[in-house]
Amino acid sequence: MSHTRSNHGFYRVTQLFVWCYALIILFPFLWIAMAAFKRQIDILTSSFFFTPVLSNFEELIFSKQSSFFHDLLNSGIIAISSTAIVVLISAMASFTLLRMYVPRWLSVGLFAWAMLFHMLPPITFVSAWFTIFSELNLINTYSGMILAHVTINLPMGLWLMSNFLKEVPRDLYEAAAIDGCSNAATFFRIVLPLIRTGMIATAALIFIFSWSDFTIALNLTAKATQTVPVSIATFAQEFEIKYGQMAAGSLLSTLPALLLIVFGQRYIVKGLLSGSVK
Amino acid sequence: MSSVTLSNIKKSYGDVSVIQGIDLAINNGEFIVLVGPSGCGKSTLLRMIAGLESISGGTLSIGGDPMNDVHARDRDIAMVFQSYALYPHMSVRDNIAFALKMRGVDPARIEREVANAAEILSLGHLLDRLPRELSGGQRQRVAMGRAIVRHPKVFLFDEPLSNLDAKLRVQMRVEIRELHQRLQATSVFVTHDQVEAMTMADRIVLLNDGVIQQFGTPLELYDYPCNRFVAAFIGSPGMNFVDGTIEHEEGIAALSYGDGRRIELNPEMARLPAAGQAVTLGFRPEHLQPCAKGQGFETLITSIETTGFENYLYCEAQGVRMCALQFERLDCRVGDSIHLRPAADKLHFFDQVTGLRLESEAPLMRTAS
Repeated sequence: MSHTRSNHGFYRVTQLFVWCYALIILFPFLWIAMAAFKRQIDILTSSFFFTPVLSNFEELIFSKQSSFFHDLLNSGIIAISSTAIVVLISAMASFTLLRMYVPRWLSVGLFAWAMLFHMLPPITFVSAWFTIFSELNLINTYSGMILAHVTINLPMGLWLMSNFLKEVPRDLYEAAAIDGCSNAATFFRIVLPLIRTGMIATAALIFIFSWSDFTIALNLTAKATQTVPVSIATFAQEFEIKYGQMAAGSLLSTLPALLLIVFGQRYIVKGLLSGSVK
Repeated sequence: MSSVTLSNIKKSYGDVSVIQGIDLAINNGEFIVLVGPSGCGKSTLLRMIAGLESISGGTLSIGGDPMNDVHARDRDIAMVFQSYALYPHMSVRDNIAFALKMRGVDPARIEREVANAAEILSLGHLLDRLPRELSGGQRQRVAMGRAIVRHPKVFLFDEPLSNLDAKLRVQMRVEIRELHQRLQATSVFVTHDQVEAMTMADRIVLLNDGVIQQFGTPLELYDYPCNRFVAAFIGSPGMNFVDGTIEHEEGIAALSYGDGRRIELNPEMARLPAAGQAVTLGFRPEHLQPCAKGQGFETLITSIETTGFENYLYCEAQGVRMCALQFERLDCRVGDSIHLRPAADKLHFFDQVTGLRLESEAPLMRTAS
């Protein structure tokens, strides 16, 4: 009986923690969402009660000075392309490293390098990339941005996909080999359909990373290929910070990621938990 | 179908040798069972035949052609896995047809072959289901269907019944055997269950520590085990063993065991081990029968198991544990004393040191004291 009561107490404490954590996460988002519908004066005076207006959105979307939709398109092209490339390369690389006869030192070395690479902040590479990309005329191009995002996100993709690939029983590869499959046929006909869930989860995460990147985009793009995070930052000008438009831009920019999370959440959770329980 | 020949086949992982030079000739259409305890190398040997493990030494031939360097997909073999290894995202129909599709077989022929396999295995009504919608027995049949549509040179089975419950295992055992009689395909079946080996095999290969202990028909292994390991492994419950020394006194041969007790052996028996030789006497539970006091082993019943049809008496004599199989219901209880005598023409002698069989024929026993 006392055991049950103590469990109940523990449950309440954990609930409290969860709600506090949710509040910490949700409050800034709520603040931005509210700011998007406020006039500049309401934002500056931090008034809690205000009359909602759509002027921030109108200026963001219809103003001649605003390139928000163009930037949104840039973000979409870069995020979708780099995500597709990362998922495909990481799935094939994981298959090769884990299921083909690659020397162990090589596969372990590559995974360790990928982990190390992922631990370094992107800013570390940006100056080098800027120099290289300038030489190759890749600055302010989709190719350059896609290449940079693929490079920065590939280690994460490799680690995620390798976990999903480990879930595919070895017997299936062997059965496929006996049934007459080459390695390529085994990958495309057997492995790919079975790791679909993992690919969706990986794609959702990589898309979000690419979509929200600021550091790389700020340094490697200009007006033509500027992405949404950079676009939002341009509202903070030298003499005026357009908080309302920044908030409206931020709110709109979260929509694709939010939709993706709602759609991909079960895959992400399933994916991140895979292997932890049978 | 084809013959399979293994010549001095070896497998090692680094310094660890798991298959130590195996020679084996499997005839066309033969059903061979590789049996042995866990870790004896039977699955490794099967996987080497399949091409899923490299061969460290020796030559493997299928149908007379060397296969050492041929990829699994080009060996024209089919394999049924312990886990069935059905493709989870494909229907039963697609699972069965997959190997034929990969070989570019004409779609009309694929359809015929799938229909034929489905009829043989009673899978017709399940063709559009996914593997996860099938029971264990049905999955097993699909795995076999996937193998038989190929008409391969050799069928390989890697413990395919071990995931089934006891009743289904018996049923599938019979089905696999009937399928083999129908298709007459060369088959190699791996199991750790000696009952499966005895009931299914044309010939059994009994392995231990990567070495063939005996290769022969099930009854050869049962009636004439070539060493103590084979004698103990084949048969359930296993053979009883009594360690002792052979004595010859005034023309009477006997086995001295325990604290000096003796069982007299018939002096007319052929090739009796020499006097003074330390031997292990072996006899099977069904050959141990109750006898009058003063004959055979004086034992104490420690446990009784009954299945209704048969009764197993577990007894102890001078620290030696033995089991007697009785088909008649005896009026005895745990703790009772009972005299048991092995059938005189069903005794086996093994060298105590090497474990090798000392007699090619079972000797006779006359009296016991």
